[in-house]
Amino acid sequence: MTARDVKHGRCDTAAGAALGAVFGVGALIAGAALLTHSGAGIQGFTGAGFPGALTHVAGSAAGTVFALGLIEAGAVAMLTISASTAYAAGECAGVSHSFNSSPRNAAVFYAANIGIALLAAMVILVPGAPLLSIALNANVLATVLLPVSLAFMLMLANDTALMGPWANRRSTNAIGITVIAFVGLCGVAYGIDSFLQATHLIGS
Amino acid sequence: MNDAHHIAAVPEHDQQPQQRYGDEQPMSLELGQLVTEMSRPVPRAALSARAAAGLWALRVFAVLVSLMVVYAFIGQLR
Repeated sequence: MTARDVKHGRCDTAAGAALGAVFGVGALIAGAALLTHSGAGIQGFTGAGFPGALTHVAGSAAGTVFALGLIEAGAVAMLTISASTAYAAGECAGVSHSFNSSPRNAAVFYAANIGIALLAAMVILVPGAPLLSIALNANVLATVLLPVSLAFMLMLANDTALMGPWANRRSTNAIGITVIAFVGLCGVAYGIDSFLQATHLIGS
Repeated sequence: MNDAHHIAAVPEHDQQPQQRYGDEQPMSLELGQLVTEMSRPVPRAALSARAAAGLWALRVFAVLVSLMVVYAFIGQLR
């Protein structure tokens, strides 16, 4: 790849971000409407609750497509999250960590990759596990930790020795800082709200 | 001393990718490129006092809010 491919990468990222936001907002609005419709509360959305509720309102085709989307999202998340955890584990241990390396040369990397996926599968299969609570809190924790990664990424993107002519401009930095602040604010708002509810300082 | 002389004076394995490849900088995605680039030692970043304070604030933020989320999760399990 060369620097000319950066433009295509940016277009790809922008299209992914826009489509992700559109579908995310769509799911959020549909979820809010379905909550009002059935009155079952968010606990009714565990398992296949959301596609089931959607089927009652919009027909079986909509429910089936949404269910397939959930399965696809789960499959992609399983691959990406276990791989990123394996990269972090390899980096922390200071050993070879790349899919370019053979399993023999990067045993920690591959073991962490497969181990995390198996651990996640085992947790999901625990009878009566609070899956909704696990999913929500894991996402909140990820959102809380995300500003740290984003701040380092922004610092790297501003390193002219590393990035050369592709270092961030002032306008790009302004957008980046705004996004980091917004993500951090959302994470801390949900974290504080959950904490206050858990300590019964506010009602749920 | 101009840039060309300066780059030539630096051994190739110590040069930044931009110095080595010029405008046609490979993006470290070909087989082995990423591993090679990441195994090359780079100097410790020199941070301003403001940047260091910001990173400490991020550390405190991440630890405090993470503890709150974990506490709330344990509370939800009961």
